Amino acid sequence: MTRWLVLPLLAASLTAPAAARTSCPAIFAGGVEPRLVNAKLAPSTRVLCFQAYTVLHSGVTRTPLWSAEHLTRATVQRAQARDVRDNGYHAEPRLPAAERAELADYMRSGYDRGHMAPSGDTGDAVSDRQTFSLANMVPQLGSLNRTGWSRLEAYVRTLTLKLGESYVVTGPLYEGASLKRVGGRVLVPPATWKALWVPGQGAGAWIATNVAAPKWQVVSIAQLTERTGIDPFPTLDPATRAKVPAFPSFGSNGHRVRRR
Amino acid sequence: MKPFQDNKGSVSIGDLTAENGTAVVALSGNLEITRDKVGLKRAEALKALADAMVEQLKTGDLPDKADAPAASTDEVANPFA
Repeated sequence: MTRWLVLPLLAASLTAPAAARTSCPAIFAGGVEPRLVNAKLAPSTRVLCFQAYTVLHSGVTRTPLWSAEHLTRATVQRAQARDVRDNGYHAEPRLPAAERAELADYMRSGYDRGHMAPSGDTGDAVSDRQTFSLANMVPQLGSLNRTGWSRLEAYVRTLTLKLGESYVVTGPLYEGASLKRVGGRVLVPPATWKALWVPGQGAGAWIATNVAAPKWQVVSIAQLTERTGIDPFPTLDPATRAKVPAFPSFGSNGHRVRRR
Repeated sequence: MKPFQDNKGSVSIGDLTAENGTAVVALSGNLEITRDKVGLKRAEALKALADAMVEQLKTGDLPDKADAPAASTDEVANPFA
């Protein structure tokens, strides 16, 4: 069953050496949750456990900063067997009202409520509904959410079916001097990212800009960490961390763009 | 999901997603209707959704074309920079 845990984090502990601190289900690569390298990200953060994923939620952005999943061939097969699904977006009841996004914040914003942990990865109705918590959403343009990003999510599932197992961490990239905001409360990320680690095979990440014509980049985990201030896989070995993988890209007009 | 009745419903049929809204119901993705039992279930779900939308649209006085809602955002300094 669901574990209704909310764990306020101390800023000081966030830059401490990697160690598993949450009591969430064991979904982290190497048993260690993502680490905030940029200490400015830490204020008002809370870990929220869900059945199929875990987020670090920020009361500053009113979005997740990362959302982590562990996929296996079996979980993807269960997810793909659920062909017709009926769900509802909802504010996260475990968060204080001042820290959380409300449905009204996204109304008439021009932005979709973009899942970080995808609904399509879940194998049962309860887990699926939990992905519709606004604690798992960032404002994402339909031009990204409904096209390339959706294809990226499907690609990760297909790859997991083929290779057997993957660790996936997804989040918003808050870079630049100023940021857009919706509902006067929720910060819009200029880009979103997804990091993937397939044990024994490699790791890497995608960064896609959150604009009308999204630009895609494939980067190493080291480059992602530098750019986002978040290390998705603290236990990853240095050689794998530094390598830019041969991932496909998901830009423009429904066609995969070849990596440079 | 009850089309046009709330701003929170979401239905998925295969890779097709319908997002509910009081002003707009947005359909995105793609859907294969295969000639098998899976295809029948998908077609029935799609028909139920389309029927519910049509029924709801017929209940009120509709404008010829509604104005697109103006998107509103503001801008703030990046707290993490």
